[in-house]
Amino acid sequence: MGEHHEAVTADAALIRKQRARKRMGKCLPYLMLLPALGFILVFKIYPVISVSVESFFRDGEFTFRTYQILFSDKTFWNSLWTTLKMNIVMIPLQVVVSFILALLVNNMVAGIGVFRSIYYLPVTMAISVASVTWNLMMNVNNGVFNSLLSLAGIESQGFFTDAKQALWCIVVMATWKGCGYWMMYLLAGLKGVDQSLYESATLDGASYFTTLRKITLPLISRAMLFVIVANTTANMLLFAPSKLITEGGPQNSTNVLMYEVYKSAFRNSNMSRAGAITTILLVIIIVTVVLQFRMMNKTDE
Amino acid sequence: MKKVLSLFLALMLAVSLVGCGGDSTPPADDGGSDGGEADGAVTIKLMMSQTQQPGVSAAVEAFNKAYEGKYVCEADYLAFDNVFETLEILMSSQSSEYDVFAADGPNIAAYAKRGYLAPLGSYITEEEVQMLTPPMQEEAFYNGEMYGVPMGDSSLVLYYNKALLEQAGITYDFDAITGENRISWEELVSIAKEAQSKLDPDGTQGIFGIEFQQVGRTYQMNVLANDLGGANIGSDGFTVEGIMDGEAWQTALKWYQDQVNDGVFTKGINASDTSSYFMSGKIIFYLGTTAMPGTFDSNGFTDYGFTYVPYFEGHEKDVTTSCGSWTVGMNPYSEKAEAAVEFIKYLCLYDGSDVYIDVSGMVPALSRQFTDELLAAKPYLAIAQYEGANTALVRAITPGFNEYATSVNALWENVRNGADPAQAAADCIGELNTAFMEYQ
Repeated sequence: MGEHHEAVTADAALIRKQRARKRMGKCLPYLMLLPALGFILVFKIYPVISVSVESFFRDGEFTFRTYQILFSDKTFWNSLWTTLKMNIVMIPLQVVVSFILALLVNNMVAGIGVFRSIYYLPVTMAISVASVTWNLMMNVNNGVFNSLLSLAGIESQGFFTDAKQALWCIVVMATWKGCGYWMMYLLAGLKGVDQSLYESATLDGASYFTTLRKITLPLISRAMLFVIVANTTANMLLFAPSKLITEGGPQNSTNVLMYEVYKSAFRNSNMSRAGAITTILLVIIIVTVVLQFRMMNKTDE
Repeated sequence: MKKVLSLFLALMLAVSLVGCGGDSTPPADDGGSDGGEADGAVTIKLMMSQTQQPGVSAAVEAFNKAYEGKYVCEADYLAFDNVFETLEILMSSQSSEYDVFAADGPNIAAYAKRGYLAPLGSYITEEEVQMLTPPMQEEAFYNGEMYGVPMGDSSLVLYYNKALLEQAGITYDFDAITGENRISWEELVSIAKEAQSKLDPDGTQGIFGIEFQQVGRTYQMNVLANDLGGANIGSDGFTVEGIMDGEAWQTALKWYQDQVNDGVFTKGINASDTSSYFMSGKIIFYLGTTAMPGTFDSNGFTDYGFTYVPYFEGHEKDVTTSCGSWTVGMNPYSEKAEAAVEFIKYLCLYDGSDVYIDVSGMVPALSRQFTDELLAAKPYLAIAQYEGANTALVRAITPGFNEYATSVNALWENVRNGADPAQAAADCIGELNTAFMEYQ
């Protein structure tokens, strides 16, 4: 009886221990995340909330005046349209190009590492350096692009000085600069796909594109979702080329919202306006990201 | 649950990246100084534009020697564009990092209105104010109160490349030009075109006829509109309707665009590059400040001449030149006001000013400094002296000068790049009206 009681007590203690370990196991990841989350909350989330709150205050008083002025401002609406126009083209373009590059460098052929490095190299260049370099290459007077065009008998182009071309030149530059980065995430996704699935598909006579659509894309959906979401947020905030090359011109054609925020905050000391535009930008990004999540989840289902 | 968690994490990523977007330019390196007292001497900190470093650093050195054991000045020199942004960031948070700082003349009104500058009326006497030339007195004041003391002035001079004109066979007598008998813009364009046609007949050499040193910036570009009788801004400091869309501005904008399209003025070159183009023989006529000869000399470019800026035919009496320069102001949050004022006076009004003018090549802001000796050493300053007394026009005086400069710079740049002048002016006016609503 005594032995039985001891055995039961030992079992109960073991179960308690196991439960505690299980609980600990569940909590551990969150505990590990806590320091990083703490930093994000203090240095990222708090400033954003603070800036949004600031947009509702003028001279210490709560007011919607900043938003009233902003919504009656033609420059703001033009800037919003420029931001949307640029991203509607740039985000899908970058994702598609990155995916194609990832597929290319996923091939196991001799020297593929060299190609991966070459495609990744633009990522290592600072955006400021890339902007200055592309500005030189696309210079209307003596840029290398115009030299090449003149060799082909095509007349000199304005590029960053042409209101119809400047935004698309920035899109090209940002795509060149960014695709290598996103390519690496997609490549990691591709490396995680079980090769036997491709072998089975080949034996079943599936074409390359069928394999791509039915096997590759569904199996890298997580990596793809990350790339789409992170690419969206990064590109919505891109303003260095507008600042360094075009200063928002010509004719406000490259005046993206983030550059308006920069000008309002650091040139004109209008923190309230900067806060209001940041808040609007934040709402746009959140809505876009939520929509992307829903669409991707639907595709998964 | 997993979906909710992943959505939450994605939103955190989005929000945190927006947080990244607001990263500001870090304040200048303070050199490790606490700005306090060392060896009994009070240390004051100065923030200055790098463009003024040669002259100011010499004056600071002289100050530290003259006030040894009493005051020490430590200066940080920031790139031109960073001066404005750093000042906005520091002063909007009421920082006392710098006791004295460079405030560009036209920004005095804006800085005063925002509380970035301490009023100097109780420190600077009326006699000391009178030491300044009249245009510089105007620039230093806002609403009847002095907020900054000008270190120097600036002016506009027409430089020309002698070798290129000789090579093109142009024999125009530029030495005969005087303040009362100038060359017209129309004639200058004609000479430039003639020279271009001889030097670069097929356009492959990329030689331009004329350019402003500060192309695309209101400081020099507005001279074209001013030369036709156009004002910079309404007298209330906020009215722009009837100005940029008025006859003078529209004529000036159209004229400028025509010259750009004809290849007389440049396209695709920014203000920081124009001097290199002039010194390397790619621009024949160059409108720049009196600080340019210093740059030319230090780069070994000596084959240039200089004369008075042109006028538009029929507008002989309207000819204007840009003026104004950096002023030095005091931080209202500085706890070393006495030392700060002493430094400002030394640098701008007394011995330090002589050192600064001697080294920098800037136009004196003090009447007493236009000596025969100075004019003999720097003959282009005689032109500046004449212009200062007769044609100098200070930039737009408005609390919204930053917004004004941004929009008007864009106006000139848009017209340069082919925008319709009327539409570009309308857009500029719309932007400024909205921007000025913040001040009214």
